[in-house]
Amino acid sequence: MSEPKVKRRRILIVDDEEILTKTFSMLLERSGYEVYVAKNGQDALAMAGEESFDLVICDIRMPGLNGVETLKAIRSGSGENANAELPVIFITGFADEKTEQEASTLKPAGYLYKPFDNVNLLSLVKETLTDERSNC
Amino acid sequence: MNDQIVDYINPDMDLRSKIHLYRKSMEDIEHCLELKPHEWGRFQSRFNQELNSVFRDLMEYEKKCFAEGQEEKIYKLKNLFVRRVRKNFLKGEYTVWSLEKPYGYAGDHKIIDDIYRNEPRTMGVDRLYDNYFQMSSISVAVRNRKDDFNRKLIEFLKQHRQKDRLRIMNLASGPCRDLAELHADPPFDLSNITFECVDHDERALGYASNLLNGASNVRFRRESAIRIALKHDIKMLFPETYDYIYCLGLFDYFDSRVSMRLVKNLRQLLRPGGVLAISNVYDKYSNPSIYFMEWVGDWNLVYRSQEDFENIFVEAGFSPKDLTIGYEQQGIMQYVFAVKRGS
Repeated sequence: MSEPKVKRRRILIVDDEEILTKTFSMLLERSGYEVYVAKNGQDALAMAGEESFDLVICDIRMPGLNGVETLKAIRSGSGENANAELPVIFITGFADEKTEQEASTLKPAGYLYKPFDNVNLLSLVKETLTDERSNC
Repeated sequence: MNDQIVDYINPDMDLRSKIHLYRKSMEDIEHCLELKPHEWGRFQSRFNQELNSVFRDLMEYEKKCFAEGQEEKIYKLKNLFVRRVRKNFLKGEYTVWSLEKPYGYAGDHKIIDDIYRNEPRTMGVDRLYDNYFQMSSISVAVRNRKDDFNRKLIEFLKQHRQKDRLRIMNLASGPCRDLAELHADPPFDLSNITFECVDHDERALGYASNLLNGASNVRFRRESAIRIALKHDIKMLFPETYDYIYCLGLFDYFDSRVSMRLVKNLRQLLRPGGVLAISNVYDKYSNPSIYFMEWVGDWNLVYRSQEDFENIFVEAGFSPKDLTIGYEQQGIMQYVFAVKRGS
């Protein structure tokens, strides 16, 4: 008898740094997650409008919509994929103090520090998605 | 102008020295061009060499880091460059636009049409940068891509124009310069062909509509390519089918998963015998000027091997034998022309 198919947890990475998104998505895909990458806030909003995600990993500082604006818009979105509690991990490093402060009001599950926080990334993602599942 | 700036750059010097000498050299050039801004042409060749020299070092460093699996090193150098060095290269209309992204995303219709038109207007030092931007291999490739796709489209239309009506979709249509050129000098009667230009940006559609003023067979539709890609029932969004769907540049920004889903949905929108024509950047390491675009202009693209690019189409439902591969003249861009079989 075949094993029932387990739905892979879906993660949206929002960052315009190609090296970083490549590294992060490769690591997460290898760990069994289904990863989507958006290069900016607008693309992330379009993706979140069509797909439901279990977690967003988002850079705070981006051209156009910054990470805080992007997450606020995703969380307040309408439609069947709307999720006001959607967990977020912010990628930080070069954001200004005001934006960092604003980000903290969105109760992120954690922060990742640029350049590469690979070890932290995996443990933080696992921790966040386990917590989120147990809260369901 | 004194010729003392000649040979500032020694090819054996390290990156730090090259940047230092580049700065000194630019001070001299700027001083001279402040007095005679129209004489930029005297410095262009030397300027190109010096910039290429700096960015060639960055390119070699990145290649080395990737080969050794040390992406972190290149990332750190890039951040150092962005914070401390980039300002020294931030001149010229195009580079500043590219970095600031006034429309919120890279590769908007304005900068793409600037590249198509290739008519720098600035003077003095800014002109040196604008010329460098326009001469860069990636800008040349963008212009070649437009011409290549136009040729392919005309070829297709010539073969199929006996049909009652042909329906063409230009996805992520941007400025629609290609269609404007086609309509300005039509190789045959285009009246039985409907062109649908789809773009997520209202400003791009407005710009293109002005450019194509009077073309009654061109329609404009605002829609996000991501939405098209991820839509579970694409027919709800696009009830019509198309004979030819083409898309320039868009896949340079999408990861493989989104790209595959986009191709899958576009395939559904094709009529039997219809063609899907897509481009993607291929070779990053052919010219150091690409690093000027990425590190100074913060314009980053997703480069793919031919195998990875073809796999997107195969995973989306095309058979490998239905794919034809093409290349842009410099080998920087690759194209796939995929035919949907069936009756």
